[in-house]
Amino acid sequence: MFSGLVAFGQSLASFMTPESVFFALASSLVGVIIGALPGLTATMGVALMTTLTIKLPSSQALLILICTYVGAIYGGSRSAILLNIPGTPASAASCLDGYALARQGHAGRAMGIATSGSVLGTLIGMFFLALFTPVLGDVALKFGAYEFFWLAIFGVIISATLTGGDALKGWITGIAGLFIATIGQDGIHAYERFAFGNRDLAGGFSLVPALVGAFGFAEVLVAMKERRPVPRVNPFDSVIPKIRDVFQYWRTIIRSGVIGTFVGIVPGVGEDVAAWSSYAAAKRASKEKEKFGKGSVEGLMAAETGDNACVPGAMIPVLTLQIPGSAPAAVLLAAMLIHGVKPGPMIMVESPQFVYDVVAMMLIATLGILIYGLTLTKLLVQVLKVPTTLIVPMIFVLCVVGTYALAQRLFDVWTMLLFGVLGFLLRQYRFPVAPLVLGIVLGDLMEKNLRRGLVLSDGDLTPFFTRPISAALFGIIALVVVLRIPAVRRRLPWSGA
Amino acid sequence: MSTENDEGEAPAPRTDLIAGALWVAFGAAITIGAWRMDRLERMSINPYEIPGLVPGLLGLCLVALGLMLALRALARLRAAGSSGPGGPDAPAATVTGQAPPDPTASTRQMALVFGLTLGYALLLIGTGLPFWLGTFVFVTVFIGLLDRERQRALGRAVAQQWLRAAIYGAGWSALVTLAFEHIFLVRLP
Repeated sequence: MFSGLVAFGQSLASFMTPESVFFALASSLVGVIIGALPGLTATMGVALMTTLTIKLPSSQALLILICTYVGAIYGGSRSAILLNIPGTPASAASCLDGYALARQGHAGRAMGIATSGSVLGTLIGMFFLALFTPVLGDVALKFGAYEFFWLAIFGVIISATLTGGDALKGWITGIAGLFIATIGQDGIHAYERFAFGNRDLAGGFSLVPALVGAFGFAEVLVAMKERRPVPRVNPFDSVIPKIRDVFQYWRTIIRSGVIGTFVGIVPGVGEDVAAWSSYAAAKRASKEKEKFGKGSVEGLMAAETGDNACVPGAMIPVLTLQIPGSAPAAVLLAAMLIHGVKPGPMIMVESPQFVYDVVAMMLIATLGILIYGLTLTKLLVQVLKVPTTLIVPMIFVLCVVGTYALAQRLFDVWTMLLFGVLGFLLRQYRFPVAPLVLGIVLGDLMEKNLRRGLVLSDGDLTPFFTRPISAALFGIIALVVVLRIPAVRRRLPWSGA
Repeated sequence: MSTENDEGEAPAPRTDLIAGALWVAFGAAITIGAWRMDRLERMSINPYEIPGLVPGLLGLCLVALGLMLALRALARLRAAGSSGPGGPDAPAATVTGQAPPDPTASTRQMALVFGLTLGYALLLIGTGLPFWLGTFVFVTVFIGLLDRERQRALGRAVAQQWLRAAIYGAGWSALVTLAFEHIFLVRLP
C-alpha cells in the first residue's frame, strides 16, 4: 500500500515539468472542445491526437491522450446542458436533468454540478484503478491461451450486446472486425491472407488509420448529414460548484463512481452505459424520484459521476489484459503499442511504475477539467456556436494528414477513407461500429490463442470448456447470447409476457 | 460506446433483408477464400495452425448471423404485410398522412461532401501538388460551397462569401503545414 503511494508520488513528480504541464493543459482543452461539439466524440479526439503525437516520447504522448480522453468525456456535458444535445454519447443521460435545469434558469449551477461530478467520478475511478490493477494483474497471470481466446470473444459479444442497438447487428460487425484483423500476413507462419498480391495489404490494416476512419471521417460525414443550425444559447448563472450539492448527494456520488468504474472494467461497454446505469441506480435509490427528468441535481450528478468514473475503469482491463474497456480505451491501447509500451498480464512484473504513471496522468487530467470547468465556460459557449460547415473540412484535413504522419505512406490514408465510408454506411443502416473496432483490436489476440490452444491440446476442445476461468467466460457468453433470443426472452419471468 | 437504441427506432426489414443477404455473400466468400488457402503441408505444420482456419470459422459465423438477420427481416416483413399499409417499410405519408420531406437536397449535399473529401484525399494529396495548396483548395471550396446557405441567410454577397472561405482555407492550410513540418517534424505528402 505504502510502496504504491510512493510509486504514485514518483510518477506525479515526473510530470511536473513545464513541458508536461503545458501538454496536459493544452490537450485537456482540446478534449473539452471536442467533447463539447456535438457529433465529435472522445474516440475521435483520442484517435486524432494519437496521430499528432506519434513523434513525442511515450510518456508525454500518453499524457496528452489521457487528458484528451478525460476532457472529451467531461466536455460533452456542456452541450447536453446548454443545447439538450449530448456532445458525446456519454453525456446523453446528462441531457435529461441538465437541460431541464438550464430551462429553469440554472444552467450555471448545472455546469457546476457536471464539473464536480466529473472531477469526483474520475477521482473515484482513479482510486480503483490504482487498487485493482495490481490485483487483476495477478489474476491475469493465471490466464492461458484458452482464457485469452474466450476473453477476446467475450469483449466482442458483450460490446455488441450492452452498448444498445441491435445485438444481432453488433455481433455481425464484431465478427467482421475479427475477420478484418486476419487480413495480411498471419502471426504464426507469415502467410499472406486476402492480400490479393498487394504489398501494402499484405501488412494488414493498421489499427490507428482504421480507427481514425471509423470514428473521425465517419463522424464528419454523419455531422454533415445531420447538419444542425447554429444554436442560440441562453444566459447562465454562476458555474462555481456548490459544496452543498456535493455533500447532500455524497452517497449518490460514491455509488455512481463505483458503478461507472465497474462498467468501465467490462470490456467494450463504455461511458454511455456507465452514465445510464448510474442514473438508473440513483433514481431507484432516490427519495426525490419525481424530480428525475425535470431538473434533478441528483440525476445530473449521478450521470456525470458515472461516465467520468468509467474512464479510469476502462483503463484497468487495458493495463492488465490488453483488452479495452471502451472505444477510446481501444485507441489508447493501440497508442501504447505504437509507443512501445506493452500492457498485459506481465505489466505488474515488468513495468509496475507505468500503472502509477497512468494513475498520475488521470489526476493531472482531472485538474485540467476542473480548471476549464471553472474558467472557460464563455469560450466553450462560443465554440458551440461555430457552424459544422467550418469545422468539418478542418477536421478532415487532420484525419488525412494525421494518418499519413503515422508511417508516411498513402496506404494509411486510403485505409482511413475505406473505414470512414464503411463506418458511415454501417451507422446509416444501424449497425453499431464499436464492436467492429473492438473486433479489429482483439482479432490478433483471439486468433493466436485459438490456434495456440488447439495445438497445445492437440485439437481437443475440452480445455476450452473445462478450465475454471474458461468455463466461466464461456458460460457468460452463452448466457448473453441465449438471453437475446426472442423466444427465450418472452419466457423470462420479468419479460411481462 | 454508442447510444443507438433499437427499442425506439423503427426497423427497416427490407433494408435488413438486403443487408443480411450481403453479409451471407461476404461470409461465404471469406469461407471459400479460407478453404482455398495453402495448408502449408510441405512445411509439415500442425493442422490446427493452418492460416485459413480462423478466417474460415469467422466466414461461417458471418454466414450464420447474416442468415439470421435475413430471416428475422423476412418475418418482420410478413408481419408488416399482414397488418396492411403503414407497416415498418411503408412511406411516411401513409402513416402520418403528410408528405415525406424531399430527400433530394440532402442526397445532393452528401454527394458533394463525399466528392470533396474523397477528391481531396485521393487526387489533391500525394499526387505532386504541394500539400499546402491542396489543403487550401479543399478547405476553401468546401466552405465556399457548403456554407453558402448560411452565408446567404446572413446577407453576404457571393464574392464576400468566397473571400471568407479563402481566408479560412489559407489560415488552416498554413497552420497545419507549419505545425506538422516544424513541430511534429512530419514530411507532408
